[in-house]
Amino acid sequence: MIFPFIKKDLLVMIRNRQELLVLLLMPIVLIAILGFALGGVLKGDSPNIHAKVAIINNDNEQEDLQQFIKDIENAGLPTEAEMSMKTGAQSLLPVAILTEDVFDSEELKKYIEVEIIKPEQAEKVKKDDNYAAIIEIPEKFTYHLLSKVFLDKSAEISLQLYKNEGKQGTSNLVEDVIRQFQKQLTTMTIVGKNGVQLDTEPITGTIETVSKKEPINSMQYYTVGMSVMFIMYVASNISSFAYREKQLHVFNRIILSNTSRWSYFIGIFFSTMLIAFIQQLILYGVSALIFHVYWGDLAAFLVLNLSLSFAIGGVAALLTAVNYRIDSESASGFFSSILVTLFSLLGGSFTPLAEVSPIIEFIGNLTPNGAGMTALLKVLQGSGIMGIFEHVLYLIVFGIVLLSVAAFSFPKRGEAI
Amino acid sequence: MLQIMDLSKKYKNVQAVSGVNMYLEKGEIVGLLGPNGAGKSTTISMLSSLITPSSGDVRLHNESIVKQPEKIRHILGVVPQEIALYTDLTAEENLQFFGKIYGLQGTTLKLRINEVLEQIGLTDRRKDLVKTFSGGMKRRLNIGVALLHTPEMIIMDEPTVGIDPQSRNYILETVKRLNREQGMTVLYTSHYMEEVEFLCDRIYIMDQGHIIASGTKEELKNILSSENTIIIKVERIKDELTRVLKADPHIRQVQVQDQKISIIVPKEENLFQAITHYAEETKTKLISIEVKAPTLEDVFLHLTGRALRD
Repeated sequence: MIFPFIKKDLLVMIRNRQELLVLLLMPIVLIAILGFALGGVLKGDSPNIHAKVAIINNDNEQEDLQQFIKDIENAGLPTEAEMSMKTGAQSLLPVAILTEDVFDSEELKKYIEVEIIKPEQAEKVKKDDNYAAIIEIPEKFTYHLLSKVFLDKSAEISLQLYKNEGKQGTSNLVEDVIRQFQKQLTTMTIVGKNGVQLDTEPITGTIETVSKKEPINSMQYYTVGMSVMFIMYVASNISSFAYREKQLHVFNRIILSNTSRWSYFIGIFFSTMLIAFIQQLILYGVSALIFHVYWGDLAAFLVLNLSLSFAIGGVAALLTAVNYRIDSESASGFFSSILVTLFSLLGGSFTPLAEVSPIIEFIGNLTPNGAGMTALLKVLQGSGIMGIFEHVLYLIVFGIVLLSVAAFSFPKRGEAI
Repeated sequence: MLQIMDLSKKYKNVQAVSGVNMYLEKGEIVGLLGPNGAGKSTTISMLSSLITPSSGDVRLHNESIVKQPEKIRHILGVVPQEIALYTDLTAEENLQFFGKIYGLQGTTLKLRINEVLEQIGLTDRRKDLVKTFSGGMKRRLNIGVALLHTPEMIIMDEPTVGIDPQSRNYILETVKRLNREQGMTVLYTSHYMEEVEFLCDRIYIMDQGHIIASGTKEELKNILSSENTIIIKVERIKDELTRVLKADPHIRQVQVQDQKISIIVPKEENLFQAITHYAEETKTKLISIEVKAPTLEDVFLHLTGRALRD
């Protein structure tokens, strides 16, 4: 019984050129404009940045310092040189410089919140998406650094930086800070030798991304952003059309055929879901051909788009129920003119707003487009189905909840119909 | 076949339909005549189970439509006053959609679509989008959709509103043919007296939510058996003339329309001289004075003091 409704909605949609332009052509045009024009935004930073950085400290600074002092005392150096080195070493404790002088400086602490993490919590922290970057200080870091600076001992001194590519702007900021820190240490090395420049190798740092994620370029970002924005117009279009069925008295005809309100309702839900899914496939297909936006895990991509379309089906059902209840098309109008823009902003379709604060990120992920966008970006970065499972589950629950509320709100016989 | 018992519908402070009693026998064409706003569409919506009555009952084959609407819906075909079609679909796609939701499938559906398109004269236009149709063609398809599931009874709510005379005749002939050839029972509502006179065996006249008269055409016209309708054509209507006619105690009703004044007078009264006198007195130029047989329009005028199209 649902199939005739789906076929009818598809035919009506295909023959409505104006709506096709809005659903298909407009997002492609916007992807092109935003992708090319605002490409730099993703690599830059907003002045409102707030980044959380974890420092996993495997080093014991005081122990290393004591060990270094013993080495000096046993080296048989002149007393004056020995005293000078001891004093120099105490002012060249690298972990203290990083945590207190660098990250706790007036300039940086406005933007970056540092958490010192115990080594046993390292694995847990690396899986936590809330951190823009993680810095891992290896064991004996202080000892090796002091030995290299003052005693010219050969040692590989390396910091590990893990960047969260989901927070590209802020993780790039942390990377810049670490590079500055390296330069600072090198400069202090020279001062520590009492003006005698040593032929020391610079302190190296290796940079990796958390979970080995691929970075997102602007074209990929806006392909996802615009697609999840314009999928919402499918819900407002179908619900408007359903209300017009009432105005044209076609709905009465449907009721007179003994079609239950449930069948009609489920028909709207599935029509929306199918049209939304087809829309997404067309948009991503065109993006692949024109903008070279490709998807790694196709299964994850399809499952996610199906669940996003499912959630949009729920939105259409709810808008239809509200339109019927208030006997006006204004619920669809309000959704398409106000809520789509608001949801798109919160969900990150225009700019990665989630980086501003965790609260905005949380709110954004409550919107269907926001949850879909976060998950789609993860798929672009290499995540599989398990990596986006929570978002898929959320979208399905979102769709079911809206469908249930809609069914409850839909007027019964003799009410508004 | 269909019994309507003391049917009423009240919307907040408006009594749309009040205590309506009607019946339809199998194979009859029954007319429901009344001006716009008389309560015809509300009555039809209750008969077809679209709205719940405030009180009363409707029984089809002795089953209550109010209590068990699902049981009788497949027996009924309803032609709404509005064009209830998908204008972005073709005639055939509309019929396919409505046929499928009525449970028709496969060959049966195809056969019925062909038959219905033949009946409504749209076989040649089956592949055209409804939005390209004329008003008359849309009206015919509107009827076709209601016939698709072969109902025993069809309820038509003003099915000829806003169309050209040719299309109207086609629709009226189609209704006659359905009744004659298939024995279909028809409830036909209209505010066009001539349509109801042409089609219907029995007629109910409705005004302001009430049935004010019922019977065959002859029975209704007999209401005026003791009266004549006189049509006075004048060059220009003058208020003074209307006023003096209304003041004449022998004249029962006065109705002005275009350049004509209709008056209802007792048969025994000869008012020609009086009318000529009134025209001279008010300096109105008379064109003609005609005595005519009573119509349903006159019956309505007699009963309500208003014309059907007021």
